[in-house]
Amino acid sequence: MPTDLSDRAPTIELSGVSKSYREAGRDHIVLAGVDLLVQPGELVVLLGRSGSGKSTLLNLLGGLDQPDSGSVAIGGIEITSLGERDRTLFRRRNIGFIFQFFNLLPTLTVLENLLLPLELEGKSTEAMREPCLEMLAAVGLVDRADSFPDRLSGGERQRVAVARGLIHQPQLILADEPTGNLDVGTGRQVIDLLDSLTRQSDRTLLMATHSQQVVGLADRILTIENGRLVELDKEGPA
Amino acid sequence: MKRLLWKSSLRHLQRHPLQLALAILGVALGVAVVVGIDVANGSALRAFELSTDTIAGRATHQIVGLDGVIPEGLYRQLRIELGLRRSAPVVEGHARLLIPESPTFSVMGVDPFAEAEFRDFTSSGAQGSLNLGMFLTEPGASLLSHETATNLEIEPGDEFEIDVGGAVRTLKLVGHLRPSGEAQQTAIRDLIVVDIATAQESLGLVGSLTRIEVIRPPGMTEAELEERITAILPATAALQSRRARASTAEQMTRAFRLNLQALSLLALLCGAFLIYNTMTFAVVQRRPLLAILRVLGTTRREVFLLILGEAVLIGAIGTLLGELAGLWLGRSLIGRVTQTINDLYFVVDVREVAVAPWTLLKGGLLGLTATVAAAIAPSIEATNTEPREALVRSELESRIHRVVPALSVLGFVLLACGTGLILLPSNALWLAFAGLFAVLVGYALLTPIATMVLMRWLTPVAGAVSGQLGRIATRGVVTALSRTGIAIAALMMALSVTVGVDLMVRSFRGTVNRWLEYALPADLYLSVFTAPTRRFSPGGVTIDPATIDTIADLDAVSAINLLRHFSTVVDNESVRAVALQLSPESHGAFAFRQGDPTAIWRRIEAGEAVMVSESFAYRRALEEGDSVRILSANEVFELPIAGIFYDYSTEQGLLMLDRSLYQRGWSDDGATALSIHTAAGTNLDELSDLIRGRLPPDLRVRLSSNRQLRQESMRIFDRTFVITGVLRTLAVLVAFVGVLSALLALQLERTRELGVMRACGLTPGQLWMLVTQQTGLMGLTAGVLSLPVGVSMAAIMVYTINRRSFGWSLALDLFPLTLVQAVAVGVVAALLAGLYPAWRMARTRPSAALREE
Amino acid sequence: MRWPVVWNSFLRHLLVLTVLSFVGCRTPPDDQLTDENRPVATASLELSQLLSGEAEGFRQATEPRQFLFPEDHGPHPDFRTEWWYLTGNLTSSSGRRIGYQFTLFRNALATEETPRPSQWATRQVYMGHLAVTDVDNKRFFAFERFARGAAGLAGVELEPFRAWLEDWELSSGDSSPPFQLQASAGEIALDLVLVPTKPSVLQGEAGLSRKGSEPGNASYYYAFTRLATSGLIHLDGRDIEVQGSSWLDREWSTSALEPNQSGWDWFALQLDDGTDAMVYQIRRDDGSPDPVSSGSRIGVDGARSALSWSDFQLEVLDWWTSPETGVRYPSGWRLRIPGDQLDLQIEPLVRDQELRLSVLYWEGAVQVEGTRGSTPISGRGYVELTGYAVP
Repeated sequence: MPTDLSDRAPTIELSGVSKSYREAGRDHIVLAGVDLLVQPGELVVLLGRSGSGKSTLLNLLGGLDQPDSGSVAIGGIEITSLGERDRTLFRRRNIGFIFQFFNLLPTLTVLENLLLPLELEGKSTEAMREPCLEMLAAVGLVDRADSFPDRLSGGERQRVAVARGLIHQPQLILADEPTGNLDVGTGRQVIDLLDSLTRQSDRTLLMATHSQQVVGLADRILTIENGRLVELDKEGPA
Repeated sequence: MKRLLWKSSLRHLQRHPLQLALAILGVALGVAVVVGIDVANGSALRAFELSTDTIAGRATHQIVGLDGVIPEGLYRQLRIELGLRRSAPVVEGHARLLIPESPTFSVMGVDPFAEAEFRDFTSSGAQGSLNLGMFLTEPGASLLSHETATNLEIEPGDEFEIDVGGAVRTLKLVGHLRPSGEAQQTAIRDLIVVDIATAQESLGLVGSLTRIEVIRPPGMTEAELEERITAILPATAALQSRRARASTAEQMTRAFRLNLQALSLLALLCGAFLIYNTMTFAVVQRRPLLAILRVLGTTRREVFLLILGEAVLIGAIGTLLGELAGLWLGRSLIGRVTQTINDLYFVVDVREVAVAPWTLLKGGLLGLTATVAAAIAPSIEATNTEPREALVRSELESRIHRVVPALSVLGFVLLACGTGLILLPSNALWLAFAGLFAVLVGYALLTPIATMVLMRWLTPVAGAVSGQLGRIATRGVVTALSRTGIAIAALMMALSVTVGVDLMVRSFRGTVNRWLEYALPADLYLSVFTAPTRRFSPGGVTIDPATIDTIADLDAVSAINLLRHFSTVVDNESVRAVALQLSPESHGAFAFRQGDPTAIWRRIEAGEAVMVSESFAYRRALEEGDSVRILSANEVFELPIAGIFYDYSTEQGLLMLDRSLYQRGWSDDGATALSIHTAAGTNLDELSDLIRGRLPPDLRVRLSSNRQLRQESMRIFDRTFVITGVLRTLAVLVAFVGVLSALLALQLERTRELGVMRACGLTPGQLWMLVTQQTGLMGLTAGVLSLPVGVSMAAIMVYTINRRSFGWSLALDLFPLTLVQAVAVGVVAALLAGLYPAWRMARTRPSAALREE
Repeated sequence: MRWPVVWNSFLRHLLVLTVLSFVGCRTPPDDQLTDENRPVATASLELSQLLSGEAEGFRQATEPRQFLFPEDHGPHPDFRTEWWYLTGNLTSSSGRRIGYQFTLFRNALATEETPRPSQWATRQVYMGHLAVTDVDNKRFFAFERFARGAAGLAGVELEPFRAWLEDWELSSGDSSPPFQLQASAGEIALDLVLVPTKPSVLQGEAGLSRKGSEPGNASYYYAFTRLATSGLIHLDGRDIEVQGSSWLDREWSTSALEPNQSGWDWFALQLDDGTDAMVYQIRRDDGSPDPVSSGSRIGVDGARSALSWSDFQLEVLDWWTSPETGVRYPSGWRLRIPGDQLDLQIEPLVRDQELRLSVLYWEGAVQVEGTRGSTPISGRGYVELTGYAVP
């Protein structure tokens, strides 16, 4: 099965990835031949202005979108050459997503939102109840397990989203502005949570953000300028 | 399928109960109409089968006369010479009792000695057993079912009078028929059993039988039997197997039933649109949600099955409810269907609702198929949801705008295909209906582009009328095209069905009305024909020449026309014919399709040619100048058709020939109808009394003025189309539900957008205006678009479907009122449908509307 | 003789019959159903159950009349009942014995013939019975038919003579014998020529045969007691050439059995010395013979002499109970006519010759053995037994 990764966090390798969008009649180049190598277990932060291409890069990494050219390989599996179905299965199994707009399913309870990725992988939801509750305990929301998302505050929702992103123990976690919709304090909590949960289990985390709080935790800091990836010195100015 | 996915899906439906209910209602209505029509049709046919089964008994074959009768000697030949002793002679006809509202009875003459193997009903006399001596030897001795006799208060020994196609006959009850089972109870209710001699005498069929029934002897093959019987049959008689007989009724009413079924399918089509509409909304509304699912790793297939599953669920519930409602509807439609069948085809009395399992199965299959078919497009649409759309909020509507050109092309292709199907040189009715459906769907696919164009034109107008809000309203329609387009298409479909059916019925009515204007030039019409079937029993009662002379001698009578209705065999087929002796002032009653009327009349009156009705010619693909071969009693006539005339009285067609020819061929001087021209200033009532005074006392005639006759004809016409009206109403109802649900979903979907507007300072009143304007615009669009579609539909029905069904050419009349009405109904329906969402929007606090998730 | 009661009662019988005709209640499965063997009646009726009937309006046999031939071979429609009744004992060239019975009954359902336009209208109804006894194989076949005497379905015509019910027909080239009989039913067919070897005889008092003490309870009755018979009988798929002797009874009447009479035993015997004998014994309800019982014997030359009740003694020697209907019939007699020194033993050739038709009775071929004085004598004949089904 090509979608299986080993238990170890994967190496991420982008080579020559280009992506452009057609907007208002002209091409807008977002990524122009990006190369990147991320080592297993690294926490990489993507800085940059809105529209600089951070989300596009994350989408390409998560297999949500396909590059115009170049390849994306995760753990040695070139996901850009997988079919739609295999890519979906790869994502389902190996990648956790956390969004700026939480993107919880409003029709499922908090617990059910956590259970869904597991169910999609074909695991018994009964057996998975306990791990989910443990995960909810880890994000401090075990008492809200049976609430619907619209009863939660923004911070609580994002904590649920983090829990959902990690519940199926993905080796790669992609977070797109996870704190963008939160106040500073709540954002901090969420970042700490993310950091501790990923570091604990030695997972690779790629996070797009413009929050300076995260920078301190990052192993590497990248930014996109004119479609190219620039590595910033960790101590250097953002 | 994943349980949580389902749960999420069900909760979504739960949270939109109104939408869900409307979608279910739409399917239910569509299925109900289909099932209802089927039940009504099926019950009528089943009742017919049941009565023929009871009356035909266990016969495997029957010998019938193509002109309605067979010579009685044939029975002796069959039974004695061929030794087919399992045979029974029958003389049968229809009669009514001389009481108001009498049901039509079947008078059945049998030979008791030949009966035992054929029929199951028992008979009994006053003291328990029947006096066969009385039954056989007393003229008029008859048996009625106990129930009927009791209801009519006829005791054994009582005499009662019946009207047999104009003649009054006295019968005497000598015993009761007893049913041998539940089903027979019904079948014998309207049955009068008499000895065959009494039947011949009462029905005017001395010397003839109406049929001979045969049970194939064991050990003889069907082919053998047919060969032996056919060898002795005269040219005017035919052998039918039981199967063939059963299908006659089916064939006779085929066009009628197919028309009803097609109309019911239109209702279902509207229902399918509704499902399409609902499911598309469900997809569009949930696109972000679907995108999240996709991000989380739900495959396209899973999404597809999820949406399809929802549709199937809605379809299943709707279908189930529809079946139940359909049974109820069928029950209430039976009366109307039966009335029409009785008016147009044959006598049948339906007392029981017959629900064939097939009916329910068909209704169920249609409901589910329509649902699934309607949901496939939205389901595919849902699978196209890109995961990244979860992250991007725009682009919801861009897709529909991209597919509009493709849809339009497909629409045009369907239109062309449909038109092609209709224009195919064929008489197949189903082809015409298939074409009609293709055209309708084609038009529906063109709705989005038509809407865009209309809105572009309307935007400046709307802007001029109500400024920025007006422009928002028109643009809103275009922006939300994926939703508004469907709503408009659904409403448009329903309105066009109304327009089409209405125009068709009115055109039909107009044509018949114009025909009646000239077809009844005389002042008084006298007819011995009172049977409810418009069918002449063979033989039958006639007015003798002496009586006609005494009427012609009356001072007030300026001219008199003689008609003799009869059945005969033309080109080996049973045909209704009329022998005419017309005064020249009555020639105008016939309008010929082509040719010089004077020349045509000259040839017909010389006995050199015949004329046939349009439907007669159409059914047999005959043209002016073609020859027909008529078997008369005395000789075979091979005559050309001099003219083809318009006639809307019977779809089976009529052949007319001159009375002199009839007298030569059939040696019969009688007439079945007279039409009388009167001197100026005659009091018709007084004349009618005078005429009645000169008729033999036992002759029952119908005497009507041309005005009464015209009214009566139109009354029957209108009765025939009542059921069409019912169906049309139901189709509109389905469409209304559709619009309501579409607009509701549309406006609810815009909650956030409207919330923003409210936040920007739009007052509740302005919001009302906005929503109302938008729904009104949609209604208007649907109304306007429905006009060409409705007119096309009417044209197809008038020029193709009616012609193929009945062989009549009708003129299409475009009644302006119908068109205006359609637009008005569209706008009003849309406004009504917009009321609730507008009210809800206006009531919602902006903050609540803005709240997410 | 055959009792007029058969027909006097037929009217009543038909009341029930109609019910049956319309019902066909016991219709067997299609494949077993041949037209004639189908039982019309659900429970067969005993003739003598149906005795009374209004005689009023019909002509009655009250006094001797002048017989006219050939006219009297034809129908007498003003009398209620009439029949043409043939029985015969036949032998094939290989010695196989076969008995047959062919009867055409006429019954008038009304006293007046109303002139009506329909050719189907009639007051006359015909019933036909056809039976064959296959003596060697102890088999008995019986068939029944009905038809109205109209529309060419059944009737009796005189010139030429023709008495028919559908394709069953007794006919003559002109109005007088010899006759030809053609009838088939099921697997059985008869095609026989019947030549009288003796002139017809008038039974009773010059043709008036009294059945009861009431005047009018009598019939007009003549018979051909010996008809040389030859022809073909179709049986078991083969045509069998046969020869033998038949007996034709002609009788018409209106009246019925009297209330205290329950049935009768009737014997028609052809002895091998060329003489014939006919006796009948009417039984009263208590089982005792009615003194109106009588008979006759016909010499070789055809001369007839009457027998009154006191001239003969009839003794039942054996009984047989029908396994089908449970009815017990006498089955073996001793007939003595002391005046003729005749002492005869009469035995059924087959025990079961019960006609289980709409009318239930026993009519069968018999063998006669005995003595005239001291000379052995043998013969053949037919016996009819009615009234036994009454409990």
